[in-house]
Amino acid sequence: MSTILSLRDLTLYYRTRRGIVRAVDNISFDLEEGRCLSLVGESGCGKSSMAYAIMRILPRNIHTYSGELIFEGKNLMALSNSELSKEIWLKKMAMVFQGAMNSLNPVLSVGEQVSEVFTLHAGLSKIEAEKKAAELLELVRLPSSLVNKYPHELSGGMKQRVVIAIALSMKPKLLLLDEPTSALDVITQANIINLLKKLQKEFNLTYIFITHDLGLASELSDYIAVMYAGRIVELGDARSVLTDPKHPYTQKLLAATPRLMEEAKLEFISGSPPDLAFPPAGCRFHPRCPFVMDACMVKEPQLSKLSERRHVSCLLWEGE
Amino acid sequence: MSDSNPLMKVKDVKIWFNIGRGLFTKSVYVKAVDGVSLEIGEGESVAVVGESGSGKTTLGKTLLRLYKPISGEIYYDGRRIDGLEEEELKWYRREAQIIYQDPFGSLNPFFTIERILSEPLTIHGISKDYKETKRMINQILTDVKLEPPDMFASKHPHMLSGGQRQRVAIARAMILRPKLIVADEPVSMLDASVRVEIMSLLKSLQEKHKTSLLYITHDLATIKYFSQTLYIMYAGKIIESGSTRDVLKEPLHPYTQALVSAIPDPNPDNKNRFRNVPAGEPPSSVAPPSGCRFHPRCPRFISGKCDVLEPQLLRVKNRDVACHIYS
Repeated sequence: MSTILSLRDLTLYYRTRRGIVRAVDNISFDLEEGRCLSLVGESGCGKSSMAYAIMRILPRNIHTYSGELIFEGKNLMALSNSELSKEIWLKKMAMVFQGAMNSLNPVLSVGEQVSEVFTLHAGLSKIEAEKKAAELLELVRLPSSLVNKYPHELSGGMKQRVVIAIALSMKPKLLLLDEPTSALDVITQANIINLLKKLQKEFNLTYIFITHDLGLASELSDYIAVMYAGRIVELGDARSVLTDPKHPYTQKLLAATPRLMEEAKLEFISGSPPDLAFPPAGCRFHPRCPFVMDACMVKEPQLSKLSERRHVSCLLWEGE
Repeated sequence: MSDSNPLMKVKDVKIWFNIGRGLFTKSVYVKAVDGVSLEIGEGESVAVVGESGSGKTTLGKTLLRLYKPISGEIYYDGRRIDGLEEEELKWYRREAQIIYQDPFGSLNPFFTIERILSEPLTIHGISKDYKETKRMINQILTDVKLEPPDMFASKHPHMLSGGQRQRVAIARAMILRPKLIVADEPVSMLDASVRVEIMSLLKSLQEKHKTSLLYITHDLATIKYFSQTLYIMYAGKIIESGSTRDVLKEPLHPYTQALVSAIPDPNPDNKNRFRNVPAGEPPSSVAPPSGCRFHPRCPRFISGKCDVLEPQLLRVKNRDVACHIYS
């Protein structure tokens, strides 16, 4: 299987009034085509920023944006914005933003909004574009009659399907999904996840799935990257991460996830996630870690290979 | 449930909102809650579960008498309260409190934590002087583990994290030592690691003070940590109720079955299976489907029965279910 996306030391710092916020800090990984990598972590851990860094959709208050970003052998860092929008965005990689279903234009019909993509990006005529739009809605299992409806006439799940349809309009290979089901009910959420699974099979899509919910991550992931304070603390195939977590944070996160059937007592992680403008010295998790050692307070652990497909950033495992 | 003299007793309550009364048009009602009965014993914790739009929040607010039901009866401690006017309810405001979902929206940003917490004391004339107020505030802040209390009392909500704000919301609800608390999705906006902490805090305070709790949520997985009893709502009606453990283990109503099967536990095998859930979404509460409100989505739909006849709650095994497949 060929690697579709490679990150090497990808870094994204924001400049804010409080100082420099280290949202994405030296992230490296490879992702193969047709696979799904989930970025899991709590709010403020930098997972959305990571998606922006990969898409190269950046706000203006950038302090540092560096590293390598190789997509299908092409260095995206070397492209200009106009090249990105001409060649990459929507056509090669697309993103479903968090809460995107609420950003549909309320005064345009669904058909107009979906077909707009084809007139703007593929140069199709209005009539052709409308035909394409109807096809696209069927792809996400919506009736094509929806083209004449307005967003307020749609339920949350339907709107989310429209947004996914727009993201898929130009047949991208990589789809970034930022909490695509966060405002939906559980049954609707399960339906959307089913749809994402089907679409992935149908088009051999590569997903980067951002969520704070390990249960949801287990639905789609081949690989899971657990993020804490702007860094990946554990990366591995989904089965090993879920059944045999190595990093204390992953272990704690799993123990804090309520399960429907198990009676196990839930644990919580004392303390709160660090301020990314002033991350703790050494390992960023050390103030909350149950296994903290003296070295953790000074030495920053590196993400190192524990076994094939398993990387952990923790001094407990360093040198194993 | 089996409590012979429950703290709260709700009988066949209906809350309809009039949304379209014009000069020449007929009234249009949103039937948010359409004939619900439930009981909450003293010190008991009861959960109401449903998707958005199921009427669970409206039900909770009606129990607090923030809404007046159009029909039905509500008894609190043996006293009928559904018809009381606002002036007659002041005593009840002290007995029953609410914790909202959104700790970012439910605390006044211009107030310090001290003012947020002193307001209920002032309104109900509970503390005699500032020293007394201060003592009570310090005590409650310590109870919710916002320590040192002096430091937190002088802060504004924006200086606190989501979890800390929710602690303030809990403190505000608890400071009057109410007998009943309605907790409307108290942890759903919090992160995983904080969520469990807030859940156990709320649970331990509830047990310590023997407060009755109505826990409103859409998240089945968190219920068993709060409540032994649960009611499942769909489109304004209770469709199944019983002990949390029994219902989760063996859901009887097809809707409950769908809810249970839709929840992903972190399990690597999930990757290779599709969830067996019904398509579609909850119906409009303006014109709910005829017969059983779940029938358009139901995998076990019986034509000529489910779409015509409204199922009533029946005793099946160890619980109540409203579904024709059991009648």
